[in-house]
Amino acid sequence: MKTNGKGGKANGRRAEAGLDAIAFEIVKNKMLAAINEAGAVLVRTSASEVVVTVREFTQSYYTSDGHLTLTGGGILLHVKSIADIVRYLIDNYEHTIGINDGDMFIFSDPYLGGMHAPDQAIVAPIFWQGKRVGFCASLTHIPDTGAIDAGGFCPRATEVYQEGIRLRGLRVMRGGVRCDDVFNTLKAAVRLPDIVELDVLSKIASNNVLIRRAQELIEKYGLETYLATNRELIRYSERLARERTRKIADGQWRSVTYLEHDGQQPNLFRIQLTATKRGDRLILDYTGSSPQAATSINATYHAAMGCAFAILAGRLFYDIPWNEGILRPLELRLPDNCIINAQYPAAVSQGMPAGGGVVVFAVQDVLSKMLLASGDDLRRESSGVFGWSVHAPVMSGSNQYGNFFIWPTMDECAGGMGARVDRDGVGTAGTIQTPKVRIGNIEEYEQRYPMLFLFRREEQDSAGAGKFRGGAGGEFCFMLHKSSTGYIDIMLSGAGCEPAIALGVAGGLPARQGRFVKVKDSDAAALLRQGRIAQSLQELTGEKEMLPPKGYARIENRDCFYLAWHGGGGFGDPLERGPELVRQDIIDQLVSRRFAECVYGVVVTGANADIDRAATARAREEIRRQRLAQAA
Amino acid sequence: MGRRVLEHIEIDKDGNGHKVYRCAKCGTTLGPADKGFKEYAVVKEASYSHYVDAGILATRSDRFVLREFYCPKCAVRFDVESVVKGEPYLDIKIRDD
Amino acid sequence: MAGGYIIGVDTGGTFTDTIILNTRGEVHIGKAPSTPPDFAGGVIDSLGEAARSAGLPLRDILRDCLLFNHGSTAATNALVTWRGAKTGLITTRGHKDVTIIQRAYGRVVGLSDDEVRHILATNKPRPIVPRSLIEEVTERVDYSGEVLVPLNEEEVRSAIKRYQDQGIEAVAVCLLWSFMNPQHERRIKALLHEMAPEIRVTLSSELVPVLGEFERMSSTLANAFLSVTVDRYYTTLARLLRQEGLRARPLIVQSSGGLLPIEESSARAIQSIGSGPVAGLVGAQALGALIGFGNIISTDVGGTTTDVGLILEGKPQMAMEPSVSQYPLAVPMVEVTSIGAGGGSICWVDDHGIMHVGPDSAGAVPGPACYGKGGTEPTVTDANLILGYLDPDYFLGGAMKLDREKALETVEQKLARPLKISPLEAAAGAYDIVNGNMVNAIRILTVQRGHDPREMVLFAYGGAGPIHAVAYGVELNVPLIAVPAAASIFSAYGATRMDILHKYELSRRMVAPFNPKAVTEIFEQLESQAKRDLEKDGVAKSAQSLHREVDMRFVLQVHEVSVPIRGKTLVAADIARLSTQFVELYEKMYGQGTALPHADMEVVRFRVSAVGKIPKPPVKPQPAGRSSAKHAIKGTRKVYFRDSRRNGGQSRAIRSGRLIATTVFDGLSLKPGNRMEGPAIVEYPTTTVVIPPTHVAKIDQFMNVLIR
Ligand SMILES: [Zn+2]
Repeated sequence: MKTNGKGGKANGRRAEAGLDAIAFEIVKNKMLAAINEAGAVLVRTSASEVVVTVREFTQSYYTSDGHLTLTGGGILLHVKSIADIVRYLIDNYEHTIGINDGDMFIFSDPYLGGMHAPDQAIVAPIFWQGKRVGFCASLTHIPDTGAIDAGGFCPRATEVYQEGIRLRGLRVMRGGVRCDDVFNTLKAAVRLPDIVELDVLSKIASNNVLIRRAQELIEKYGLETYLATNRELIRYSERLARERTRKIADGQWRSVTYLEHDGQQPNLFRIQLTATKRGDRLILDYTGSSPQAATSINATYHAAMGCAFAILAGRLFYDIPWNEGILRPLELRLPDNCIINAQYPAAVSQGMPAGGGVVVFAVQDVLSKMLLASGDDLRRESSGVFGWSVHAPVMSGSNQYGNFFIWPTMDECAGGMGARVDRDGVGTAGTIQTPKVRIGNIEEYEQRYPMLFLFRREEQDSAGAGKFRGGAGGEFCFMLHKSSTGYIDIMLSGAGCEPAIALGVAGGLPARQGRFVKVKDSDAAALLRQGRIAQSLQELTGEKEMLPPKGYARIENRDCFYLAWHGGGGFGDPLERGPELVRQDIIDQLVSRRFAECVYGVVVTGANADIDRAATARAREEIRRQRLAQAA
Repeated sequence: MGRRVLEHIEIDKDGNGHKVYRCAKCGTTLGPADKGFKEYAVVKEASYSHYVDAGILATRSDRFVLREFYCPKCAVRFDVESVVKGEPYLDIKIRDD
Repeated sequence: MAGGYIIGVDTGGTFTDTIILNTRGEVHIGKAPSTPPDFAGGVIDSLGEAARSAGLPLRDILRDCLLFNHGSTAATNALVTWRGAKTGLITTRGHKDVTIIQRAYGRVVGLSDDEVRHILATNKPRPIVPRSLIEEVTERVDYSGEVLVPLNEEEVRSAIKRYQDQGIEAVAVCLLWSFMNPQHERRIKALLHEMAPEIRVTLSSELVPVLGEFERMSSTLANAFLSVTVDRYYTTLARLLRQEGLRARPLIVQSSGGLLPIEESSARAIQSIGSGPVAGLVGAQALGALIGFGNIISTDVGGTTTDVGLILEGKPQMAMEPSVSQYPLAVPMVEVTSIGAGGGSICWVDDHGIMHVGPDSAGAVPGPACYGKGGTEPTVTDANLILGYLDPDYFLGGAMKLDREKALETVEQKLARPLKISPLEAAAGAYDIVNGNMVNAIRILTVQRGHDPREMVLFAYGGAGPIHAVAYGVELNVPLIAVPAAASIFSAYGATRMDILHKYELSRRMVAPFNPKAVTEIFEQLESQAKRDLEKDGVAKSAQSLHREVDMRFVLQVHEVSVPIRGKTLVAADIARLSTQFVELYEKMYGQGTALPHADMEVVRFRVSAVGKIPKPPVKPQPAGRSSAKHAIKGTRKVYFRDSRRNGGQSRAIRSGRLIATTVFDGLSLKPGNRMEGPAIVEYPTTTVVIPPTHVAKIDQFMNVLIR
């Protein structure tokens, strides 16, 4: 059956000849179950917090010629590019070193796929009775790449060569036997050899699950059904995705998002996105975006594509099987030598979070506006932009046990959800690109790293205001505790510290910016000895230094480190918000009284925060008057 | 009922059958739909620093502005842009045929 | 087990079921409406019904009762209906948002994949304690258990005063690192007892002394929230039972799959969540073992909910990350999924002319329209009556007359007329929809996790289960549907098949090479508590067994593998074996070559399971007789059946159907070996089995109905 973009009806039951609908459904669900099971194996065997807690991993199935047929579970950013890796593997090795049963190949080159060098993928062919019938792959973010900076995000890198070892398909398993030469080479190249080795093994374990389950399916339902289901899956998703796309209003929307600071200078980069929707096609055109930077904030094509895939999957095609089919309505236009389509050998290690991360915001921004202009069922899917600060300081040093550690801090993944058209966004909610993301328990952090957290909480007034407000973002502050060397190093890798990037929609305000602050020579420890635990930066003495979004900092024994991450953008005009809702936010300590007055025009009095109706009416009238007056 | 562009902006036909923007909140006709609706809105633009006192933003910046678009009649806020000073308006063109 | 009774009672949302077994293997059952929110009355009523059927005074039975095992929905009900205590939370300064932030994943806890993917539709659960009622106190302990900041008692006292002013009834106390050093939590408890003895306290260091403040706090909070309600229930029940003559100490079914004495259950309210359904699952496990099935889908269709559980290879599946209503609970829980579909589920038509069933239920009061107790909404039971599945004169064995006219009237008015179809068609539609809901719930547990229903048997129990079982079984393509002999009171039966089970856990981090003496000491500490508790429970030494386990991992991994330990006083060789065993288990789970034997290993948690075996009533097979069931025929009546294909569940289109003259059998007269071809109805006093024209039923030697 040829769909060729014209698509069929969305019932999706019309499958190719010989494939009955029930078999399709069961095989599809079993593949998804295998993907989830493999994800659980990754989580349970990996030694990286980024994998275990933050769920930065993917597992997926591919056809024998390298088309993504199904993914799910972990992070969505990388899955599309692994298909490119699989095709590279086929093109380059099939007729040279060979791709045989029991082989697995390891990749970590951002110019082939993934976001940056820490994204390490292991691809395995699936064989049945001596014949290759597909591929599977598992990817995780490993804690070190042997780059110039521990952790593999490198603000000072100017070429990809400084960003750690890049692997292009070394055979890490041969006929089911591990290749020690590859393991030893990789381990010699990185700072945390044991953890990296465990992470490689965990992906092998994950692939073992994917392979075993696929073979069980074939054994039970027959090879033909398995292959037909895989082919049909892509077409099925494509049909549904085109149908959904067709329902979006035709038109053109433009968005500009900014990336500040290149790791060395506070330069400014813009990402311009023009989205054009016609029929069942969606064009995302980045013409007009800044040229690539001299430093590592660039994103590769794969990063830009992956970010678009993640947002479309999570926000528009959430009920359609996630595979290549959902990208078929999409055309991505990326100018050459652009900050989100950097050319080799540009440094790209901060391209995710930085360059690529900004794409996440840009696509959300245009998508929300497109959905607002569409029918009511799609309008409901519109929202303020999710707060996710791509705000990942990587900490390293010696822990309380005297061992070297690297900790990519990812609490910013608990960003606020954007406001919905009929409800507030959820506070400290998680991200779109990783649906089941988690942040760690403070007790886990303190057990592993030489830190004592003075507080971690949602930040008051952090969410974008609106008729419905975004969910709150958060903040934490720690001091060093029982450090064996008296310091740790922090490599900063953030965006959205100057430009507000969690934008509102339809008159809603953006969420406030994220921040990194170092308190030099603080009295936090002295306060503890006096029986006090400082609860804000104001309560601490010492010089408060606003750190740049990207760069380096050292936290020494008496210093504290503070991080604030983004809430979600608001929806609609804040003056349309019910005063009762504002009052409840005050009681819940989400909104300060001052903010309520200035932004919502709601005045409350007394300990019970009773609404002063008359004063509220006056305040709102005054705000309206100023809106029209100031312009004149 | 007009065609929704944003929550409070819609395209409708006026008495002469010409396409115009209307404020969906108060019904005011803003102007012909051959230009962007933002051309007809009351625009207020101020640097980020202006928004720090109220707590809306946390960090001052003088190169960035918030640009707010209001209905000239009822003062409802249509849209907010967060851009570098001098950035042209971010337009929306709805194809309506 | 000389002369005496074993009693199982299960309180569901609609009915309370009793089974009384004696040492001769005789069985008596009773059923009475549940009496929410104070369920104790229904328990006594139900016991009375069973005693009546045994023809003995309840007092005599209770006096001679050896074991009284009870599963109850009290905890679940309090949580679902939000009828818990007005609760406060005291925590470490700077960390009051732990249960607000929920590590960001509270939004997706317990959701299906499909729900998780629609991110904009997800929400965090309603907080048990809003931020304004959370009290932070100044104190700080670090990861090693060292006190950095002593507890500020003044702050605690003023927090308690505020709680008293606000009428707080229960307080959860969860401080950072309290499982390493519980002294501050204990001091707060002492202050609460001193200043506000009326407030019930749950300490995290007593309930779940494990690392991870969010999961620990969430559990502590849920426990505090339920503590008052659950304690009130157990106290009332124990008193009533004593008054009625019970001398044995009641044992309560726990979510872990074991029993605990009633006093202990009061302090661990969250462990009784899902207690009834868990008992049913244990019953399914026991029955499966008896009749030779290890892979079972168990479905319990009650008045308000349907509970679905899985037995794989003879074991009930434990939840990987237990939770209820999106609250993570750091306690062992058998996994049971509940959906709002049962006999009392209300059928309704929305604005778009689409019919829905549930999740609202008419409950026991007013109940379905046909009960004639003032119910005005059409329910599944009303539909079943109209379709001929239920006999209006033989509901609960005739104890309760059903009003067919009332059922017709509401179905006509609320469903048929808006949909412009006949009442019969409307009733058939409702039946299909509720079955579809059950199929979806079962598919999430089975197909979506890669378990093929075609390789499993379906157990259908609960009062309404056997009416629907074949219909949803067909859609799932299960090869066999079993209706247990005790179907209508199956959870009560399950409660009589359990043992006492305590679990003791301690989080302590030790890096290899482990010190055998230190390991032994921790286990001895846990075991001395275990032995004390089992002794307190009255478990004889010979019936006690203790099982040691450590959770191990490679250093810096986050998840662990549980490794059993044998031997009492451990020596170096045992410890060396531990590491080898860990690597073996690890590779068994994750594949050859996935372990890293040269890497450092650590133990992070120590666990002792203490089992107190309790006597089980005997089950004797009866010889199979003739296949003819003619002797059991009660008559015939017109019953509605879809013109269904046998294995063709996929079509959602409205299918045709008609009333067919159907043989009705008296279930109590059936004998092992009897065979009945569909269409047939088998009526028991408390349940009805519907066998469509496509299926054949057989009575096995334990009186179960097996349908193929
Ligand atoms: Zn207006």
